[in-house]
Amino acid sequence: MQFIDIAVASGYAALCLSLIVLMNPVAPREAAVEAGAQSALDSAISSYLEHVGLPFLATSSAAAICASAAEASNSTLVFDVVVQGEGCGSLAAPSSPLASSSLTLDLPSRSVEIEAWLARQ
Amino acid sequence: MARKAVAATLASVVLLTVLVVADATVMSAQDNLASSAQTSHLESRELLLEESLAGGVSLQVLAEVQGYLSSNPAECDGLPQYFASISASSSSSGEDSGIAYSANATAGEAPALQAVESDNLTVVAPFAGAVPGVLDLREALSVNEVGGGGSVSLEREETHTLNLPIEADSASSLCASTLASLGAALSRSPCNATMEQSAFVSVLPGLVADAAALRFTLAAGWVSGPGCSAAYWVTLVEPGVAGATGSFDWTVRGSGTTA
Repeated sequence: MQFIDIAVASGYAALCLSLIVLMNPVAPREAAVEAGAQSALDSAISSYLEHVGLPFLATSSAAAICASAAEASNSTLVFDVVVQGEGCGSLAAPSSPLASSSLTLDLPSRSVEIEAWLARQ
Repeated sequence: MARKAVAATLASVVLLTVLVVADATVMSAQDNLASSAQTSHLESRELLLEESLAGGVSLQVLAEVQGYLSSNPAECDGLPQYFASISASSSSSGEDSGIAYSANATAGEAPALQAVESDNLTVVAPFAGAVPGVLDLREALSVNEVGGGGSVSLEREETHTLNLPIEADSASSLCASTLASLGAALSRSPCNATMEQSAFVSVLPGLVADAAALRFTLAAGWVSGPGCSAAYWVTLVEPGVAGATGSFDWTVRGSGTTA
């Protein structure tokens, strides 16, 4: 009888500990942080689009577009603009970004892709 | 001793149960947070897509109108019909980050305006809004997006005003004044080609200067017609119009005959 009691109590303890390990709240928290970072990046791309305008991206030289991307970048946010497959070589993406996002624009005369990375602080 | 063991076991059961319930509560809260953040991300992505799609199809429409203007010279006596015949459309559809999207835009000539009219499609500035005297376009725009398995959707049906900065009103007034001046000059000395040429040459520099003042280049000529009539023509070119896909030239032609 005593042996059964000990077995049941140990089994229950093992079950509870397994549940605690399985229901790890860290994974959804990280997913929320990542989704928040993605939202911030999308807002940053939107602000960049509003600032330069689509006609600028449709007609300007690669050098002018790269200059605008560099101007919009800062220590935590990096922009790159790929025009007809050619990116701005001077803008290096963070080695281990918190989040990254891109937006492809089919403009009348060219295809433009805006890429953005959020660096870990 | 046995009582203590039972008490310790019960205490452990209660403690472990409380721990499991607490962990489940935290897990549930974090799940909700993750779900909200994911929904928020979908919404922000849809807003970004909406902005780029609305601007993209609008720019395509402007490019189509620009192509029409640059490859089809207008006639002085048919400018209203020329502008009324302008029609352009563009569409885009696809999928981005789990969001299915479609966008459509159609545009035609906008009613004449007396004042500058702003428009909130600022992503295509400076072609957003209406400017008196240039070609203004009224655009019907629709954008539809569905993401998250249908949980986050966006629908937009709007009318926008766009412009292409060709000097439509200036062209119309230059047509009228230039053709009237040439007709009057060539009518003064009918049946005398020498005097007609002299009158034509004397009036031409003023016409060229008037056109230049309105940012047009002007070329004109004339030939003797049947009887004592004279046929004359004029070509007005507005060079380097800043269009949505780069600069282009817009040409207007006119002609007339003296009796």
